[in-house]
Amino acid sequence: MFESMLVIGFAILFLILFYIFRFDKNILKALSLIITLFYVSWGIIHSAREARLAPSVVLEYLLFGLTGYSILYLALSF
Amino acid sequence: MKLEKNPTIIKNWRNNPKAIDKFRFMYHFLPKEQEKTRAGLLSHKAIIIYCLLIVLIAGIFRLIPMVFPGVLGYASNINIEDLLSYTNNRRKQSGLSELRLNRKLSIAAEKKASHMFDKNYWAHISPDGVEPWDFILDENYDYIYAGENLAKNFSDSDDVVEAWMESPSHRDNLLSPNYDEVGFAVVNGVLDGYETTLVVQLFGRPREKGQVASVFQEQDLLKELNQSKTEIAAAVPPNGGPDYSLSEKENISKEVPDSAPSPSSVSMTNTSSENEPLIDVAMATRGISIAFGGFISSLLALDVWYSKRKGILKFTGHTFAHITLLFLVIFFVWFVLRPGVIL
Repeated sequence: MFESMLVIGFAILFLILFYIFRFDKNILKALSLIITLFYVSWGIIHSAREARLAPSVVLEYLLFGLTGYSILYLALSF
Repeated sequence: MKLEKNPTIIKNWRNNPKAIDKFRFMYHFLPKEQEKTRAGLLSHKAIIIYCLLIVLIAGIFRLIPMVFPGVLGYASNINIEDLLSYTNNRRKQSGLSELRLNRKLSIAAEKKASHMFDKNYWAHISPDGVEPWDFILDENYDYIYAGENLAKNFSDSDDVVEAWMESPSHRDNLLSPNYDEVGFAVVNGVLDGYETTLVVQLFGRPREKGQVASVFQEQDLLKELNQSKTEIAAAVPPNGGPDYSLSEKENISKEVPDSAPSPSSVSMTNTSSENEPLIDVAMATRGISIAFGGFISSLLALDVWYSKRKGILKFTGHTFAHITLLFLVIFFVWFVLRPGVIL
């Protein structure tokens, strides 16, 4: 429960940052990268704490992070 | 309680081709009970394919303007009256005097915008060294202070001014007490293969205080601008107009050149801009981004629901976190992201 709230809290924080810098595409691209790295790191740490850390799980977080970043990059590129 | 399979249903299922087809289709969407993994459409291979598809789409949107310039573009509905009104509202809120719309600055702004389209560049100084002040001086506007703000790819006037206000350097121009007058140009054209609208905002303070445009002059100019299809013939000087090449610039001092067009004539055709390209690239990429994000989120939600219903325990990552990430992306793209670049 706590970790779900933590995820939501960080999501809101990043949304606020996105709103503040909404007109600066370079900062938004950098924020997207930071979110992706943060997300993958959080996923690895969370899985390790729950004794569910495995290469397939790490790969899953990497791929979903990459998907989120790709979607943002597509929207920010035009 | 022990679950018992109904042998009649299983037997009928095996003989029913439609049921088999349905099962094969749903197989890709639902988690696999025996392997204890996510649905086929959420496998690692599938996610890699989605990423590659997104990259491919981005590549296509970059390639089309090179082959078919003007097909992709940015839809816009921007007009000078709104730009002036929003600018002066911001100045009023900061306790500053309003800027008067100046004819010469507006013509200079229009020539700057046309120059950017003709030479295909996006910068304050052109590749051949023409500066914004050259356009101003060519209109016989003798200034003490001058400034320039640029914007492109925006969809409406409010976003343009808001973007300038969010940027410290552009806000300094907008809210500078050194300026008395402003000129705007809103011009459609093709830049780097994309059909777009350029907005040029030129600020100035004339050397002689008495030369500041009056309210009546501004109102007259706005009336002219509102008759957007009306052209007042410009007096073209004998040498065919100002030459903005670098060699010419080197020969021009900061004084007004003799060959400048007569200030009493004006050609203002670009007053408001409604730009409707064949494909609005901003809307298309937003739509595709949201479609991808929504599709994958839906699959993840279905994965969670079906796994809970069937009691499938999977060794995977935190599904809720994946859904939250994608919702964050969708929310940002849909509600926050706006097209447009300022300089």
